[in-house]
Amino acid sequence: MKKMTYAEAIRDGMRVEMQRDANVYIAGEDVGKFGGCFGVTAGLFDEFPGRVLDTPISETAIVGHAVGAAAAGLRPVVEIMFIDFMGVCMDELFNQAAKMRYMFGGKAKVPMVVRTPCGGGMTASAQHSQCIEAWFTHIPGIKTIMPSTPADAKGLMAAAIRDDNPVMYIEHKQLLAMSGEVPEGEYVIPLGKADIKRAGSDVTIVAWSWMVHKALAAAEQLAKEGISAEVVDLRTLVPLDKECILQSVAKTNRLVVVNEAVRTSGFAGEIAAIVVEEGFDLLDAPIVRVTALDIPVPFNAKLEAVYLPNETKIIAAVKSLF
Amino acid sequence: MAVEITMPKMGLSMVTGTIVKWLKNEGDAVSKGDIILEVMTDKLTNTIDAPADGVLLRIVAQEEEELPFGALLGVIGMEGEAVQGAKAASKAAPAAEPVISETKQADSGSREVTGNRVKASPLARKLAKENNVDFTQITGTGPSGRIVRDDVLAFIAQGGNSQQASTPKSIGSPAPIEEQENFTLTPYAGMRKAVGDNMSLSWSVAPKVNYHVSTDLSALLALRKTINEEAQVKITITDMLVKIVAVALRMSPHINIALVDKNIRNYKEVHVGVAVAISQGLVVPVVKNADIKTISQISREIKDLSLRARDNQLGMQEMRGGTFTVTNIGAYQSVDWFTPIINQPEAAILGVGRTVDTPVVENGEIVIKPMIGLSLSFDHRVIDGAPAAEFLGLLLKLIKKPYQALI
Repeated sequence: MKKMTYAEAIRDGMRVEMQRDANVYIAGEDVGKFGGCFGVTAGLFDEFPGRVLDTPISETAIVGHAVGAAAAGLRPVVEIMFIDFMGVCMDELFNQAAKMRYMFGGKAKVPMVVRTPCGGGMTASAQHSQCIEAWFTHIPGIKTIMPSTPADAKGLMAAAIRDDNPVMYIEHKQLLAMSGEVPEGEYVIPLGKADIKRAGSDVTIVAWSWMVHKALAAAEQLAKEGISAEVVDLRTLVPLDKECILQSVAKTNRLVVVNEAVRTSGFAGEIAAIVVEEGFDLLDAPIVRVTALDIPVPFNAKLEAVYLPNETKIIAAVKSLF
Repeated sequence: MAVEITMPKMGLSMVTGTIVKWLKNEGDAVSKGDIILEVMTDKLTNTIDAPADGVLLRIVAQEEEELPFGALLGVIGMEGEAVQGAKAASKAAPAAEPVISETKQADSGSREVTGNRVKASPLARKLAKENNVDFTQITGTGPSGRIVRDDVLAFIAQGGNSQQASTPKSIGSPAPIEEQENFTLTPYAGMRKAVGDNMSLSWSVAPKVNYHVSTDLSALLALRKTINEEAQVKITITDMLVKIVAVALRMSPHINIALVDKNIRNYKEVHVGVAVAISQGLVVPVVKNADIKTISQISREIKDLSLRARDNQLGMQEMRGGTFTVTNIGAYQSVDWFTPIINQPEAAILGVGRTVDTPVVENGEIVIKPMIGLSLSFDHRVIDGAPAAEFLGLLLKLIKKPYQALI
């Protein structure tokens, strides 16, 4: 184990895979000598000569070339500087990358990873703070990963690169500097395995990415008030570990889903729908979502704080079930 | 279109109500809002209004039956309208649901399908089904009165099942008094049972400590005399003690608490319950926000609440929400101190005894002072001895300088 930041853990995950597979390469805006807008690829340019490529400022080109390279046998890991820019390259992702393996009857596969940071809380305003993971979970053919800890970030990066399908690897800007113990060398966390970050008996709080930490803080406070909350970190949204969620709800009979994204058509609603369909008789209370408001992310810090989910909102949601 | 008359929920803790008497007969025309029957809950007799215009087609619940809230009591409809269903037609199975001719439900006619939906969580429904329990007979304690898992488990633990639940379990007072050779039998029911249940609960859950003290009441009596020279309504010692207790509670938030389920409630407001003896038993109407009310306001409220309590006219809400209780038996001139039982879920209660002229030492001299006996009982689960003693000390200080509670 080695203490490293979430950003370093992502880098370590990529490094290990680049060492073991010469087909893995990195491309994106300023990911080379500069080390990436958030420094995630720092040092890899020198460590892997010719395998860390600076691209033009064109998301279409970045994702488009990766689709072709992946179909031709390479394993690109491309960076889109902010998830908010995914709109530019959406056709390449959802009509090409996601469909190719299916439409060609399995004769082509697209083993590519799109790394991109999401999330608010940094007064980065409406075009640099969004959580749009539900865009990708709505597209069959794409896997979606949102790690919450350095160790998960590394293990899931390895799994993403080794997967033969397009994977959206969504980092959270708030987590990049967070440090934690990370296994050294090869470390792979299989996709589709949720992780119980805190065990509890009275209520299940499902969260992912930054919101896992909000949920843990809420659970800590709730414990002082006599409510034992179990925090389930999904880690991967697609594939989804339904079993873990349902097993937890079977134990607690109550569910709160926390999602930093705006409320309407968010992935929290998907979780709620699954539990109602498959775990209706487990529920002793309505399922409550804690989400952002249905508005563009405000620039003003105070307004953004109102917009975002937080511990207080989670605690209130949990208490409403008792 | 027939309309059901159901047992209303009159207060948060109400589980059952007992039919006292019907004021209308089957076949009588009724207008919406007419008082059609009297129902007694734990502590009060309430009237129930007709929910619609029409004719009282069917009386389902018979007098002296004790039924859970939501239970069918009768049916109002148009003259000649058919009320189908053997259960409704048969007075022998009073709590069962009728199948009204208009509602052609294949189901057995639970309230869920006849429009008066009972809220129950999916888990509660499943548990009820597995245990052959009619969940519509259960009182929900979840948000919005929803029946949740624990309600079903508690119901089962109490030996409840659908068969028993729909059978009248006990008969409330005014109860038939059974004559035996050497004694009469009165059912332990209604208010007597409600008071008894509350006392038993408190006695069993609260490790109670009792503090006793006597204190000089002369300053308070003098202030009362001064006020009453001007006051339109004469204020009593109880009124003044309620005010003083409320002010002391405001200054002692750690006493103004309640232990509810797994949490300690730290109340933001001070609501003082005042125990009132009435012929059928004991009720505790609550003076809300007593700390910020004037003594004359408190006095008027206590008089009004006591009068209406004795006439059985108190609303359930007027007896809810107390954060502390004062019980004064000084007027009987027979008791100095006692060990009052805490009105759960409150954490403490002040018992007030008689005031007796007593020789006491003051400034090295023996003088005669009107000494009042005070008894503070507190729940040691949530209040420790030192803060309780401190609180009692604060009360004594305010009783010695009562004007401090008024400014």
